Amino acid sequence: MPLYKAFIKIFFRRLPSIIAYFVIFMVIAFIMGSTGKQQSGFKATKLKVAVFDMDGTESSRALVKYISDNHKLVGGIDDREQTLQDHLYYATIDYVITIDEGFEDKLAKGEFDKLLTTSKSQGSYSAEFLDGQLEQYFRLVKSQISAGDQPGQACIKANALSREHVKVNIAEKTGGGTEAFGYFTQYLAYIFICMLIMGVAPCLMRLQTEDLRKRILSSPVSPASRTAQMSAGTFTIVAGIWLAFMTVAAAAYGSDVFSRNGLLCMANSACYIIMAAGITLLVAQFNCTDNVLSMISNVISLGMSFLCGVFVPQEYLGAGVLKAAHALPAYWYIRANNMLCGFSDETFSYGKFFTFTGIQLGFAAALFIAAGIVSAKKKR
Amino acid sequence: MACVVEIKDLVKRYKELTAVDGLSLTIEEGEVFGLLGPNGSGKTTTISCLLSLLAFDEGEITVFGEEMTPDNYSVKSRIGVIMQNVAVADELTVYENIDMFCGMYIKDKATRKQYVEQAIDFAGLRDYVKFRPKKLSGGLLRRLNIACGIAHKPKLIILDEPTVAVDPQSRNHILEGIEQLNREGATIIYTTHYMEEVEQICSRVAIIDHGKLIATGTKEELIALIDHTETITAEVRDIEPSVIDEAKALPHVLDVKLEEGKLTANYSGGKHNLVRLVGLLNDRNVHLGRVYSELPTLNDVFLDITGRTLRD
Repeated sequence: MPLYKAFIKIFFRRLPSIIAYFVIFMVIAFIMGSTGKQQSGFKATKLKVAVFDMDGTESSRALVKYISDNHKLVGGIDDREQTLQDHLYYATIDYVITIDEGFEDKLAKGEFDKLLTTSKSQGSYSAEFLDGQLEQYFRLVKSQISAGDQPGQACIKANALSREHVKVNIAEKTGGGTEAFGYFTQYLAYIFICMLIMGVAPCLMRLQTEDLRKRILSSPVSPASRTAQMSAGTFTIVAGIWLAFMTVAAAAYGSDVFSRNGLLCMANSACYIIMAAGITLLVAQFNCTDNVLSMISNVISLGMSFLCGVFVPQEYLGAGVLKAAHALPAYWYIRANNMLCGFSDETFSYGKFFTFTGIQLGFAAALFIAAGIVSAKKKR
Repeated sequence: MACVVEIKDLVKRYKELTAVDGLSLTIEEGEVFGLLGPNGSGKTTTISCLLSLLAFDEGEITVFGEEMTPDNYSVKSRIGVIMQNVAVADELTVYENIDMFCGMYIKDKATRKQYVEQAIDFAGLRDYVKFRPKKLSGGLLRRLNIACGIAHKPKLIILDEPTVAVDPQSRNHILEGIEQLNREGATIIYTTHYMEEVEQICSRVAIIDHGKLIATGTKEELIALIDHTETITAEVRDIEPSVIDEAKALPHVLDVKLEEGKLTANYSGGKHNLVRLVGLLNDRNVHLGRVYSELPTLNDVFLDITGRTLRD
């Protein structure tokens, strides 16, 4: 296998630049992955709320209880307007609620307008959140009163109901903990093409120069053996690069990688790197300098990444861009990745997964055939 | 002696251009066979057809008694090829390049290692084994090209203009190496347009021009094809035209001409031609500078047959 050995040696001579790609990618992927993880969690915030109960009824006490269950009550505050404004200004409290006299009577009459007098920090998203909670609370109270309960009972029941959280399962939408790994695999769409074009294409090109090709043809190495050795070399390096990335991912993301979605992400990336090998093989048919190769690598990898949603989520891309992106393999890779990692609203199904990966493999087959045709034309 | 290469009526056309036109050659075992011709005469095309790198239009080629085809790997395994352009991988070291090419012929690792070491010594590349080709001078690069072609100890070695753009020291090294390979039993085919190289190392020569074989034979046989046997040149001053006529009348003189202060006389056979000419010039009080005698070369043969020189 002299050509196989030479192929691998040539690759290792170019390894420093390939490692640079690898390291830069890892740093970026981990930063993006960890940012994504932080953004994916939800934590309810508690506001500092001052409540003045002027009604003193069972209903108003139930409301105070509801507020205290969800937020932090701040006591001992003077109810003069100027004092309250100062507290709001200095953010020692976020929200002031005054339960006016006649609160329970209004509920009994079914009057739900202007039940409370409120003050809040201007433009506070948290205060808007409490507005929403109160609105939701009074809807529950209203429905209990409509069902025949007295206002006091209705408020107590609304309290109890609001504590019950309905567990919502969004079928297969989220990645089941694979979000960080998903960011990692998302950027592989860019780096695989860069690394293969800059790492593998030169190895193929060096051994396919006109002079070396003639020299090899004069030897007892048959064209079939030559192709087999070069293919074996390409496969070894492609597999090596893929394994290197997956090993690092396994070390960094642990069990996420070996979950069902994680394994499917790996399979998706394997299909994509095969497609990237097809691009590399086609590019290698055109003898070009390293500078030209770098330019080709950037155009293909960056172009596909921007058009197909690697750097910008697909949901933010225009309809025209997305339509054009259908003709590019990276689009299908990212779509599968988004589906597996919960980055899109697309619900998971094996049918879709196999369709998306199948399209990538179809692109790969087309690229291999195109490379073969170009190679055959060159020999003529 | 066994016939190693036999080319019969070879014709190779590139559209309207006939690159090789009915060429026939036989090369015997143990020969250093020179293929001499100017640039574009069809030497490299002939070699490419011989190696089955090019399909030809007419004719037959047999090597080691077998028809040469692109998939005749048994024959290819006995041939060493040194191409006109240096064919090595830039990323590999000198050692790795030789090992790669040797590995195409020799599977056994231990034998290959031994052969690679011998090729390195043969080409004088011991001090450069870890160098990459880009670090080598033109001469060393040519030597590496040769080492890659002969490392597997082939029975037939084809060298296509291996000394183009090579310094004199490397050229001598290469030519001495070829003679050594021949002494060790290899048959050599050597293409060049440097007549001096052919005269130095080749036991038999074929001269080709415009794809046609002009003449073939040993150097002596080729020179015998032309009339003149000696050329005497004298640097002269103050010579009368009548003296030139007298020189023309000397025995065995074919022609005499005076150009830029040099009197050149061509002879066909005879002895003491130099003494007679110098005697005449002295008698007529002609001032003499350098006087020298040259035997005819293959270039004279080419000139005589084609009317132009090898480097035209």
